[in-house]
Amino acid sequence: MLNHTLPTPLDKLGASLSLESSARWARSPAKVCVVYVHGYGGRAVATWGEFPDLAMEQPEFAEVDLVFLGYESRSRTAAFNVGVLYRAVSILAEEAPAALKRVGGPEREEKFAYERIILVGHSLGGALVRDVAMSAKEMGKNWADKLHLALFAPAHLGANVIELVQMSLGFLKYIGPFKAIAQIKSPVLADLEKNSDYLKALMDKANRIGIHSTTQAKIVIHASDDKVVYHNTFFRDPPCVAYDKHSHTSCCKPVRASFQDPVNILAGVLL
Amino acid sequence: MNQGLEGAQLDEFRRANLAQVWNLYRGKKRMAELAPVAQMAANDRSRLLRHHETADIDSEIEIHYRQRLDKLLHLCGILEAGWCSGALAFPDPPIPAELDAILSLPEVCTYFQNTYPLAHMERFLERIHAKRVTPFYFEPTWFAALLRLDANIRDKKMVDLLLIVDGYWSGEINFRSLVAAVQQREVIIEAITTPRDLRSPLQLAIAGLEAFLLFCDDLQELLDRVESKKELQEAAFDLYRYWFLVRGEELKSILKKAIAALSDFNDDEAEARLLTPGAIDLLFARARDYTALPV
Repeated sequence: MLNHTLPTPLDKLGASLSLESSARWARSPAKVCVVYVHGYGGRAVATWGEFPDLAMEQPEFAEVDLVFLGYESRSRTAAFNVGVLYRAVSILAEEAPAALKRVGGPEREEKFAYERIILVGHSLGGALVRDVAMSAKEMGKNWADKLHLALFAPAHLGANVIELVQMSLGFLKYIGPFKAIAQIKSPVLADLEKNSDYLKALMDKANRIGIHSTTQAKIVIHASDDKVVYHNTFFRDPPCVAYDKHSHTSCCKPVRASFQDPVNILAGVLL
Repeated sequence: MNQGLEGAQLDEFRRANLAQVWNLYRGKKRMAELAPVAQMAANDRSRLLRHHETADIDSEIEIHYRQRLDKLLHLCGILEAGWCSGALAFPDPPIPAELDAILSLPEVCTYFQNTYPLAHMERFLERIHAKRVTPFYFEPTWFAALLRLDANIRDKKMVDLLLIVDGYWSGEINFRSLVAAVQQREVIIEAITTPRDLRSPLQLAIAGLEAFLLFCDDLQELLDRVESKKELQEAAFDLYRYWFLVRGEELKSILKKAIAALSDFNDDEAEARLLTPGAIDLLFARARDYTALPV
C-alpha cells in the first residue's frame, strides 16, 4: 500500500476507456506494468475483488504499476474493444512518462519505459488481451516482445453466452435466461459463440505468429464450477491451472487469508 | 499495518497522498474560481447562496458559482475522510488561507450549516480549527476505495441522473418521464447496450440509474469494511447523505420499478440472488441508519 499512489482516474490517458478505469502507480519507477481487463458486463476494478489491495501488500509488486482498464463490453464488438485496449496499451508502452503526467501520476524520467507489460484478462477480457498482444506483434511493435499474458477463465475458445449475460453486473443480471438471449443485442455475444468468425481469426493470428509471448500465455486459470467458458487449450498454451470449488467469477477474486492464489500466481509471473 | 514502518516513510506517504487529493479534486482551481464570490458584497453573496425555494436558481452564473462551491465543500469532506482514515498528511496550517477565507464568509457558513446542511463540514471545521492532528485509524486501503467510489459519482451519466432526480430537465427528460421509461424492460436493455456516445438523454439517464445501483452496492461494501469504525462510516456516508435522505424516496422508487420491469425470477430465485425490491429497501434503510449515528 505504501509503495503505491492512491487510485488515479485514467480519463486523460488518451484512449476511450470507461470512467471507472484507474491505476495505482508505484511510487518508485516501476519495472513492470500489470494491465487488468475485465469481461462481459464486468467492471474495471470490482471484477478483481481484493486483487489490488492484496497485491500492493506483497513485496513482489512494490515496483509494479497496476492499471485497471474498463471498456464498453456490452455495447461494442470485440474488434472495436480490441482497438480501444490496444490504444491504451500502446500509450503505456510507448509514452508512459507523458501519459503519467497527463493523468496525474508520479513523475518518471523522460526515457522511462517498462521492462515488461503483463496483460491480465478475465473471460471476454482474456480473448481481448490475447488479440491486443498478437496485434502488437503483427504490427511489428518492438514492445510486443515485452508483453506477457495471464488469463483467468478466458473466453478465447468461446462462451455460453446465456450464462455470460447472467454473470454480468448491473441491470442485466436481473433478467431471466430466456429473455436474456432473446433481448440482449450485445454485438460481442456473437463474437464469443464457439467457432465464431472472431475466434477463428484469433486462432489464425496465433498460427501466423507461431510460438511467442503474445501467443502462448504464461498462465491460464480455469475454475471447476465454470459453466461459462470452454476449458480446451488455445494454441500452445500451457496446461491450465485448475482452481477447485471456484466459479467463473470467483476465480479472479482473491480473498484475504482464504484465497490468495490469484495474487501468488501472478507474483510468480513478475519474476 | 503501520507497525514497524519508519515514521519518515509514513509522513512522506501521507504528504504525497495529500498532494494527489488536492490535484485530483482541482483544489487550487476551485479556490480561484470562487475568488469573485469572496469579493462580492455580502448581500449579493447572500442572494447567490439562497435556498432554492426562496427563488429559483436558474441563471447560468448562479448555477456556475454554486456548483463550484459544492465541489469545494465536497473536497473538504474528502479531506476529512482522508485525515480520519490516517491516509493524508495534516500540515500546519491544514488548509490554504484562501480556502479558510472562503469557508469563513458568513453567507458560505449559512449555506453549508443551515440552507443545505452538510454533516461533514462540522467535523472538518472542528478538526482544522482544533488542529486535531492524530488520526483515529490507519485505513489507507479503505480511503483508496472511497476515492474510487467517489470517482463514479462524478461520471456524466450519474451526474445527469442525479440532476433529473433533483428536479432538473435533461433535454426533454424529467423525473416523471424517466419513471415511465424504466417500467419497460426493452427500453432499459436498449439503453444500457447502446454505446455511450450514441445514447439519447433518456438512455444516458437510464445508464446513470444502473450506475447508481452499482454505486449503492459499492457504498454498502465500503461501510461494511469498517463496521466497527463509526467515524469512518460517517465520513463516507455524509458525502452522499443528501441522495439517500432528501432524494432517497425518489431513487428507491425508480430503482425498484426498473428491477421489477427486468426481473423474471420467481420469489425464491430472486431472494437467492438478492434481487427483490425488498433488498433495495434494506439497502436504503441501512444507509439511513448511519445518519442516526451521533456526530
